Amino acid sequence: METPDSFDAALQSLTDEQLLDHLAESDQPELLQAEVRRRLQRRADDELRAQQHAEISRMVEHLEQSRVDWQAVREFLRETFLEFTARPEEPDQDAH
Amino acid sequence: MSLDNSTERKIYSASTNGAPLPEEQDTTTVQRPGLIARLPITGRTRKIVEWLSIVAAVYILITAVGVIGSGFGAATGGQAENLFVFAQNPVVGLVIGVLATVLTQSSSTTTSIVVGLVAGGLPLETAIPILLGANLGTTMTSTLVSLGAAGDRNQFRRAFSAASVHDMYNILSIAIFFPLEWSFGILERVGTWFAGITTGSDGGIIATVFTAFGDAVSAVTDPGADLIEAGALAALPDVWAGIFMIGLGVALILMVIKFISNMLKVLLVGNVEKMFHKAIGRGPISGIFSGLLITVMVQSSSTTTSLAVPLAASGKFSLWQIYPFTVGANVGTTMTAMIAAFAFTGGEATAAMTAAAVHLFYNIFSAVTIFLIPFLRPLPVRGATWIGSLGAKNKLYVVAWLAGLFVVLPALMIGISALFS
Repeated sequence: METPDSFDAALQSLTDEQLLDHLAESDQPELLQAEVRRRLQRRADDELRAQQHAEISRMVEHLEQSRVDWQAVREFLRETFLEFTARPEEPDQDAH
Repeated sequence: MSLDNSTERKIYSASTNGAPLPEEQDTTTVQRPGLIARLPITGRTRKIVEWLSIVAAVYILITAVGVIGSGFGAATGGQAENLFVFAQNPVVGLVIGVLATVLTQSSSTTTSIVVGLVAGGLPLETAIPILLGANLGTTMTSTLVSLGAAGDRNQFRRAFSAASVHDMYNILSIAIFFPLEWSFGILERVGTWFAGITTGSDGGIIATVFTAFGDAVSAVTDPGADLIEAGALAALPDVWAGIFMIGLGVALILMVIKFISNMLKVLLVGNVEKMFHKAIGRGPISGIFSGLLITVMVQSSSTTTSLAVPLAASGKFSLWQIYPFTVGANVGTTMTAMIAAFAFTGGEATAAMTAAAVHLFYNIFSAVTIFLIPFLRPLPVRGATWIGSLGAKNKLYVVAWLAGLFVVLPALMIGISALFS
């Protein structure tokens, strides 16, 4: 009889195609679906990690971006002031 | 459904299967300080000159802290306690620390100046709230950096949240340790103990090593500081000479800390990048140590926390990944004040080291307390998420947050404490 550990190991040793074939033929697909979900999650994590490493590889660019851009600060404050002081639009007189 | 995916081939293996890290970054694209950039040298010669310029800048930093100490002694004539009676209210001291750091945009500058002032006679109980305030004041820089992402609402939400996590963490640590310090003087006791074992005559091997190193540094930096002191005292009356020396020391510290930070960024960008690569996926403790080491490398917590802003804005890093990194930056920035404390010998060295140690232990205790107590740990992230969402909805909230944190709240605190004192 297969133990749960040896069954897990057997599942993990399957290629993606074999796993999908088993999934299509199985009467009780729960364990196989869990394995699919685990693989998808692991690949999503790996994908994110790859993106993070790629982002870090742009360190020089990020170091330049980490300086205070006083022009951007002034522009931000100006826009905020304009938004704050802007009057709500007059209702359209002709509509009434 | 297909599971075919080539993602894993793209994974850098620093944290996975041990393959080599990416090649060291070409440092020539990082903007050099103007003076160094204009030198007609290249290659190894440039690198040697750049490292020598950092050594010279550290020399000037230590000399300048010594000049501030002497200047403060001359200006106050040993009556610092009486002259600084206005700052004996701890709330006023805290606000001075916040505002001074907002103005200089460098907590290292504020803490180095305070170390010099304590060595020159400023009472430690007056200095401690200023050191605590410096931590909060330095958060302004990363918030200003985040405004650069205002063009894209989602990017701005992430950038502003990443900057605010530093604000929230420092507000929380002040909320915990400021009243504790006011009531029980915990940091003062720990700082005094640390200075005792590092500079005291009965401290054994640690004191011997620290004192020998301090004496060696002082032997090199004292002549410069003495020359400035002698010149100032010869040209001006004592009080004015003291004020001139404080002004000169502050100006020198401002310049050299900015120079050191910019130069180290140029020289160590490759190492900073490697450290980031290694920290990814290794959990919060690794994040704290990375933040700490990177801050020690670039001698600026503002640089480290501001660096987190574009990383978070990219959407690839969560606030929970940024948070430990900023906590480490807080601890790492205390190193500058420790270096500055070597400007002095004897009793002055003990006083200076006590102030530097207070800053160090405040940040260590904050990190340990907030990270180890489960209900405290998520508060900075929750607060930052909340303020980030508000700021992305309406820019007015951002301005209100900045004005509230750095203008209205300090004014209110001074007003309320004046009412009850």
